[in-house]
Amino acid sequence: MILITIIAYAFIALLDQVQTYKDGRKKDFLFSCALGLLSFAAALWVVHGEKLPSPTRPIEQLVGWLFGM
Amino acid sequence: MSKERITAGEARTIMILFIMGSTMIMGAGGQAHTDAWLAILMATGMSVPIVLISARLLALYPGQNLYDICLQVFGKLAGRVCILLYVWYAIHLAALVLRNYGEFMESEAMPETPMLVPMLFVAALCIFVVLHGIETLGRSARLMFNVCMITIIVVLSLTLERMDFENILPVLDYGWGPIWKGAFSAFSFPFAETFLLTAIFGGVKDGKSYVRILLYGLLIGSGLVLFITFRNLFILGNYTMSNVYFPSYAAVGRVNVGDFIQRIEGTVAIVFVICVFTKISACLLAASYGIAKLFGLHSYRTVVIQTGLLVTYLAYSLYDNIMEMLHFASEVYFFYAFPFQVIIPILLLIGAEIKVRRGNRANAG
Repeated sequence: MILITIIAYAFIALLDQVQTYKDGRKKDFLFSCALGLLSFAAALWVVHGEKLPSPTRPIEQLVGWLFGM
Repeated sequence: MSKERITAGEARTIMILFIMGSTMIMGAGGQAHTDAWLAILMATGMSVPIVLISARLLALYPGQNLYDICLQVFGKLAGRVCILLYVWYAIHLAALVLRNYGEFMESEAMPETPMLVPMLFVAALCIFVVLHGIETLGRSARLMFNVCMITIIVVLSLTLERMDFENILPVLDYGWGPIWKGAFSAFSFPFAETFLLTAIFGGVKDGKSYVRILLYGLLIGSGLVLFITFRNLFILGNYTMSNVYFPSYAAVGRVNVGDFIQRIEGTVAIVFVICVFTKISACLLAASYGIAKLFGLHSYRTVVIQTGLLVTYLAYSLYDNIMEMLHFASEVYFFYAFPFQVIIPILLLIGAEIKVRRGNRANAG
């Protein structure tokens, strides 16, 4: 599964980042790479069987604290 | 960024499908039991001011979207904070809706398939349509809305014989408390969420009034939600409706015409997927616009793919189970979404009115 994820992201990088680089948009390219790395890390994390930190509990706690629920 | 524009009809259709969203399968105002229809009517009334605020903001700043308006009204720093908040809200809402779809697929359609798989497929479709721009989304919405309406009408004709109109009685059996609870729930999900559409309705081609576009969209969307609620109530009754996760699916599953036409709940799934696809695409588009504006990128398309994938992973990680999802939707979401749907829009409107009037006075003087 990890291999499939790597291949998939290589394909996405080819479609997305490479095209942005060819268009000469440096800032967009750097930002896209940063976001792509974050997304790739998240994908590996999920494929590994883990889940990303969920915002649900903190939101529930914040709402509970604010509204006394 | 080149200006992409849609027609008034396309904007209205996107809004209708946005409202229908996951409501078509999850239902709305369920806390009100047999009076859910009353809760939806009240929620529609409560949402009219929010829609009028959206229309007024878009009219005060023609050709600009929510993010441009935030920067104009609140200034650079506070405006960017506001944009960041709405980008988060758009991403979170997209993830919530995608998770609704994932739970539906896992519970009803494909229980042995990992939830991530159907979610990834829908996300890929949404990414594809957002990459092609709002014009593509608008045209897709027009086409798919017709498919939705035909499906709803056909299913109605098949479910008529199963309806027991007395299921609506007794009215106000549980009192006004659950009705208000249902109304606030329906207000926050899905009607007031339409404020997020100001992020993508920056320019409408044919110069129609935003009030007409957004108000008609709200009324038609809420009418369809009301219609589906009535259908489910008449077929299932209060007890069953309260005990199933997906009332529309359960209601249509009861259709049996001459032992020949059976198990047509796939039609409900078609409508659900269309509505969910449109809603997630609109949220993804809004998030991409916001990220591009926030970081000064040349084009929002740069961030669409990665944002869409992150939304999918977030959707996968949101809850541990369907009970948690329902608890968040019914007990927590109203309070969490209130600042995004009511407080910030009101502040934006007040700030925008003051700024525009000052500007007009300065020009006149």
